[in-house]
Amino acid sequence: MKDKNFIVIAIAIDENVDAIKELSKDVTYPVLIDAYHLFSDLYAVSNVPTVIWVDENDTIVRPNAGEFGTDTFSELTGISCIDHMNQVKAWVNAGEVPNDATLTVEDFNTDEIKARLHFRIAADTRSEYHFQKAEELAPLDFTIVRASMPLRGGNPFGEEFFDLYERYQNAGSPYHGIPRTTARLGGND
Amino acid sequence: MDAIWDDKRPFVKEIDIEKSLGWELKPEGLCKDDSCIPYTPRNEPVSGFVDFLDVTNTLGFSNVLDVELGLAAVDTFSSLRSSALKDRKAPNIELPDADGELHSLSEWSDKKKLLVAFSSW
Repeated sequence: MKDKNFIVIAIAIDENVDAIKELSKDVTYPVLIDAYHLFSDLYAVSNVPTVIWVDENDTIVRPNAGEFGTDTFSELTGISCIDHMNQVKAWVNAGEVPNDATLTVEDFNTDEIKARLHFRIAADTRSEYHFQKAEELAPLDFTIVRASMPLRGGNPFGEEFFDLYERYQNAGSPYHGIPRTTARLGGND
Repeated sequence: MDAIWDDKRPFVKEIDIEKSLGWELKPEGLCKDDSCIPYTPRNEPVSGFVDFLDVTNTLGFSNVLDVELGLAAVDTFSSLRSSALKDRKAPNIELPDADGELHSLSEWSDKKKLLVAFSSW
């Protein structure tokens, strides 16, 4: 979708610059690196992908939602972004915003904020103590627990991820934003 | 930001308080724009250095301290995050691209923006 009044800005909640370069090698829009999760702290992003619609007045017109903004990663995830992209087109071309945009995203609680501070120290120092504290305080936050896996020598696509996903689902899929409507994990959600 | 440690507490230069936390230390207290919160520096081990935890606690910023590593992490985003979530004001942030060049979201202020948070994990 090309429009002079519209831009996609991708923010990698990730310290692995090489992996992000590889993932985004064909994209033409800006890709920013958020190694310490500052964007995610600022916008209360607890999982990826999360999309946020921001208008020309820097007003958030549709808050955090578990949608895919592009098909860049659809091969990886098996998730199509058609519905969401049609909604984005209607917003860009006609100013239409879906009804779910009125949802107020819940702020982080005290434990979640502390978890993020522990994560920041852990990302900087690889301190296992701070990874553990972060996970204890926010056990279902993917930007903490799953993001930590590669930093702790684990596999974010391995068994520990599926364990996390099961715990997350059993807890009612808590998410700071509009619940994902199109996502499928392994096609059998 | 550098700190000196005294009795397991970090003390930082007064000037670094404004740089790191956005609040300036003045005679009337900790000030930002037109508002001030009363604050009197105390227990200064060295003149011109203030108790970092005391300041962050006064400002209501959550913090995590690691004395052995000599590191403190502070949540300075609470009010910006709250205004993003409640008042829908998109806060600006500066981040590097993959080549290390810094960008601000405000570079694209005049456009409709689809912010996409993603990852390799």
